[in-house]
Amino acid sequence: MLSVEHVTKKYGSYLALENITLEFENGVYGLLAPNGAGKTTLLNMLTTLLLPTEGEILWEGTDIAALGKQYRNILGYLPQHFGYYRDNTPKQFLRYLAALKGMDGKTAAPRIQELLKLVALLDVADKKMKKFSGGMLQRVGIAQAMLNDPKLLILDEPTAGLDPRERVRFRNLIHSLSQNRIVILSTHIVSDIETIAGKIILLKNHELYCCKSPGELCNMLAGRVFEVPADRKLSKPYQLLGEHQTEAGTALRIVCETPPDGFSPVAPNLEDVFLYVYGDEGGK
Amino acid sequence: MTLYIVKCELKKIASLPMLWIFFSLCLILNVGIIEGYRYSNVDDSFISYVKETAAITGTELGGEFSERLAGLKDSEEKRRLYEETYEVKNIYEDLKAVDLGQAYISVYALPDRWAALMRNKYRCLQPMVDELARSNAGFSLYAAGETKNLHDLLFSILFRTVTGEACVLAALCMIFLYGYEYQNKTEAVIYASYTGRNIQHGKLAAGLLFGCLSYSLIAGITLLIYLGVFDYSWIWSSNVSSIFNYVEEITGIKPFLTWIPFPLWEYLLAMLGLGLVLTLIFGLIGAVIGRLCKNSYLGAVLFFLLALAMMTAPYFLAEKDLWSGYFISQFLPVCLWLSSSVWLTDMGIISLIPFHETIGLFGNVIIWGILTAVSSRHFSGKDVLL
Repeated sequence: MLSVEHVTKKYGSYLALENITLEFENGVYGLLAPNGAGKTTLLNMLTTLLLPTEGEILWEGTDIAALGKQYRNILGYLPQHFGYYRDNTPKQFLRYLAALKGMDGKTAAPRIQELLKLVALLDVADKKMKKFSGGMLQRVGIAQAMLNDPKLLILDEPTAGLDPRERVRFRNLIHSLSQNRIVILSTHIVSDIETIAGKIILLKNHELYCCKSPGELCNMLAGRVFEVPADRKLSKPYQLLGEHQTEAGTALRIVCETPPDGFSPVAPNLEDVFLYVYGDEGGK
Repeated sequence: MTLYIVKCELKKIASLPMLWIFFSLCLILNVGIIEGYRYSNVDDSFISYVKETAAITGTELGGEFSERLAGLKDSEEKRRLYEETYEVKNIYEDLKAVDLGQAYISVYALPDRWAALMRNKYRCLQPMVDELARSNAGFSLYAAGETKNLHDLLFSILFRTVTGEACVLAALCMIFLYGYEYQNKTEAVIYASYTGRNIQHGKLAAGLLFGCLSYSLIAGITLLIYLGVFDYSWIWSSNVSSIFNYVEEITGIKPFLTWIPFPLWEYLLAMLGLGLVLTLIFGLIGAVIGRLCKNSYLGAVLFFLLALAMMTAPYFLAEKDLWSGYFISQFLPVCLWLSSSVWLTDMGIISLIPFHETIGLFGNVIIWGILTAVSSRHFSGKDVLL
């Protein structure tokens, strides 16, 4: 339904993304990369805020730039930094955004009510948003993105700034909204997507690294991830993924092409893949 | 673009506390001007006397007027009015408009090319002078010897102040509105919506509507206060080209020569209409600046710098004897505002054509309208960098 074809984005001489080609069908897509890898640039192009320097983005075979408002009509977007009018109530703000989404008052009113209930903000629907917590604002953000019941829902770092409880609630909410639509969720927090994403897109060095299911990604490291005690000297080359505390003391989680003596491989998870792929690039 | 969106954009402006502070300060200033000028320049008792006398003598000077005035009870005011109105001449009968033009040509040493245009303008004015002579416009009583004071207060000082206030307000509010999404970090959500970048059309409509409203409010309230202080009920039909109304310039004193005969009320309405057009032009200037400059504060600074450049351009150009630049610069919106006290008149050295202000204002609407359209179009196909 949505395809990105050989898209490159440059800001002057700076190359932000190069030759990205992707296909999206209904389901949840996790866009996983460290900060600065070009996630937001890609999403901004998908939302028509930025125009590709090269290549094109097609919705059902037609360039989204040519579709214009017709394309934006099926789009719901929660940006990384969700701005709002401090003196508005969620109801006022959603009513305004509904108008911008081409909805008339009669259609908008019940939809706003329904979404406020869904995001558990009904009891503060008439309170000014300047008093809202980060989690509440993100919920207003998801409600506005869902106003027009979009076929394409794009969420850029939706859990940034949320506490763990809110993050779980948010994840469940996204999952419940993911039926019969494309959901693209950008994050650098692995746990946000590992349980809900059907496919995960990895960007590296401003290029597409891969687009695979979580299982396929984990299989990339099958038989190569080990946990060894921190005080154990290893003779073979390895890549450190992280360290954590076990009952027996501090353990290192490593990727090693050949098993260290006396150790069996452990099941790799998505975080291992992330750390393996991005190695020195930072991120979580 | 729905009316609801325009209404929401208007609400954004109305929610700005600075707007109401500025608005209140404008009204306080205007009241201060009226009362200050009245206290220092206007003889209220004489105006009251002229009003009462006009009810008996009529408002057209001449033999009958003088006879009736002579029959009234003696007083200081009567003596003054009698001196001012006794055996007055129809100044327009012998007036050669070309001579007025020649005075500017001589004093400013205009080069031949511009001198020819200046002569031509005053040649065009001659039929109007003849019409003023034929219709005895000069014999209109207006407010007799206090006419100049009243006219200057209303049209030279108050009108220019009110128009200036509304223009600044219109431009700044437009800049504020265009920068509103950037200030609130709502650009991404709004520009990715169905309406998208077309929201700017709603902002433009709301900004221009707000310009009209603010101008109407400031001008309306100020005029009401002014008319509460000075009773104009008896002079609305006076001709603004009365002998008591004149213009003082470096070339000397000349009559208030309009391009068509204007009773006072018609002149006021025409001026208010032109003032509204000027306010809209400043709204469009604000739209262009707002489109180019996302940050409203930076936009406001840019606006004042632009206004300052427009204001000083004619002086600089005249100083350098760049006459073509000088005459073109007189069409700049700020220069049109500065010359508002002589709108609809010959405008002296400022202008080379009849109805300079009308042509200038409508020309500016077209130019700034085109610039607004071009900047909007450019924005529609441009990256929104967040």
